[in-house]
Amino acid sequence: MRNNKHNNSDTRVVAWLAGALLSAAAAGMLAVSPASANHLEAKMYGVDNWDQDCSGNSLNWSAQVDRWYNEIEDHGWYSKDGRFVDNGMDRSPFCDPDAASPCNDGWRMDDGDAVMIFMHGSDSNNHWRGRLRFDGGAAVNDCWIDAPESGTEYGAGAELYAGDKDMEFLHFSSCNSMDDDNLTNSWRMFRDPIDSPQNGRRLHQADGFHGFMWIGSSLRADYEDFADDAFSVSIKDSWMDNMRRNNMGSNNDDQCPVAMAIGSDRADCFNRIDNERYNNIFSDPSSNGYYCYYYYDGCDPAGDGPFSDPN
Amino acid sequence: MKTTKRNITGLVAVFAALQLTVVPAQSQQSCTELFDLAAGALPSLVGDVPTMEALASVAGDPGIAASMSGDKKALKTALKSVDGRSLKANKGDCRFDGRRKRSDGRHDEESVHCDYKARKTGATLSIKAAEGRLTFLDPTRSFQAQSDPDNAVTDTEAAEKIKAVAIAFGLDESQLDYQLADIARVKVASVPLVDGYPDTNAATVQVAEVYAAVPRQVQGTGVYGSRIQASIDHRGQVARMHLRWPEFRVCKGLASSPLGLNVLDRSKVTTAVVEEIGEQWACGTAVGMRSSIMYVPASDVEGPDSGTDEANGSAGREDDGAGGCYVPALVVQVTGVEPLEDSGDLSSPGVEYLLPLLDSGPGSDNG
Repeated sequence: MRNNKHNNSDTRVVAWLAGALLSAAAAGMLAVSPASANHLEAKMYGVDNWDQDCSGNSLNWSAQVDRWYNEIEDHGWYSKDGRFVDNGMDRSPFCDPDAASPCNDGWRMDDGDAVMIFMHGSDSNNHWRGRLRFDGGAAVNDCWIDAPESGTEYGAGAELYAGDKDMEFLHFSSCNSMDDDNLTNSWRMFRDPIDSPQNGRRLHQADGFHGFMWIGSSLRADYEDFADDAFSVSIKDSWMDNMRRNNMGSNNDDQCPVAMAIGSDRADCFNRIDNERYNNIFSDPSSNGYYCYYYYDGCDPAGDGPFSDPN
Repeated sequence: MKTTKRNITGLVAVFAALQLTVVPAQSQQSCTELFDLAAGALPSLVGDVPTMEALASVAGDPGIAASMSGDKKALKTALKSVDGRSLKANKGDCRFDGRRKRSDGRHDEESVHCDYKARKTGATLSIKAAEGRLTFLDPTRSFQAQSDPDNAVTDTEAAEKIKAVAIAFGLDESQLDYQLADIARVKVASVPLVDGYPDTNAATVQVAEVYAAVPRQVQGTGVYGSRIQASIDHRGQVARMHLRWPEFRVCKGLASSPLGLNVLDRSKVTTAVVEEIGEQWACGTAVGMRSSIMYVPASDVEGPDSGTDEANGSAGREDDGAGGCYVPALVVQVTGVEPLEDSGDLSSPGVEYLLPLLDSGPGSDNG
């Protein structure tokens, strides 16, 4: 499934050059053509049917994620590098080998440049965790993929670290993936505490939801527009615009998107989250000295209280 | 200030009766209670033949919104409202495939697909008239947290702005459902990490943008998936705008069948709701339900025996209904048990289901 894949360092150099050229173009300095077309990889991983080892209500979730996956390819920058739905959805494609075993995110999820994962979520202590379809067998026996929080790192339970191999952008179509009270820990998944300091690779941006998200045919176009717009404006703007909903369900709930980035300092963090697009990719953050995030003030979803900034 | 979760009692009563019935979330239920939940949430006018006849015979739009019709003058007026006059379409960026000029001077809405660009700013305007979709994006107006001041645009100013823009883009103002409008503030926070821990005392928070959205209704009945939304920058300008506003027409033949409308009775609709939701939600897991009568793209609503596309898995079908016609249908929104904060219990997304209220006969035209 590795179509049109350049090796990682080449990809990053080309992506960085493309980003630099486009930044210059945005400043009116250069005109750019996408000479490096189709060199980046988009992937989607998730579950429609919880009918195996792990319980959950089955939903036609992939229908709306497909709209993102189809659209992101249309702009000549990303190839479809894997649509993984149901089959093999145990912990392995998502977990980092430094954190647990057997784990294979380096060749699976973290091998994509822009990735969307979709599955039932959960607010577990101070982190998100996603509900898998398979438990990984008796030796693993784990129906969850757990993002890190303070006290669970270095093999103490956290499993999901992104960006230490390749990924730049990770999108969660999952409930509670960016709950307000978990944001003081969400930045931890942007780096592998063991590998990132050595190889300098880190995730650029993660996007998710405070509280419950929604599924339905009227929301599918939101996923397409998210991918489409993110080639013209920042990924953050596109996520925040297209994923906001109000007046949903019996309690008139909101759907509450949140976008987060990290940077070496405050200016770097802001510059990244305000200006990175799917076709304007910066080099990896050189360190994680700051995190920054956009949210809808007071956004009130099902599955959590109104968004309250944890600071 | 709370601008979301509007109080339903604030809606005009007759519309509330027509559109919306709410059953508050319950903590426990049995399978029988799922039936009760569905029955209790069913709007009182489901199964009412005169109501369905009135919904089926409502007059449609005379055409697509002027700004999407290929009418250059109308588009110029629209662009002025978003300060986007520098947007240009290069030759070849605007396609009028199979152009057909209508008696009112507009081009056939199926044919217009234009991409306008402003070279200096990188702003874009994309019109997909066949789908009733228009997107305006100006990256130079996006909030720059490092340098821009807090956004001081008020709710009133945001409401006035989106109203003015909607009218300038040629939307029928009577179709703007201000009662369900959404105005919200986007904020940005930054937090330093010191020795691997957030120093929240040194965090900053800024107001970045004001988001405004207005859904669509036709004579008091909501139009599923149709709305205008805009993000307003600190200067009061529209930074980005999305319009999903297809030409509205009720499917032909609904009211003109020789046998009249075949309106599904309440018990049939209730049974269909229970079957539909019961396929995906185990007993006791669906606890909140809202059912509304809305105009839904006919392509999204299957017959009573085939269920909705959520159930039959039409993955990725790009059928937002635009370019087709609408039927009155039931929109059911379901939420599950809300786990306790930090509990680690599974959360399920809210899910929308679309169910027919009419048994479409052989004379119907869904095209």
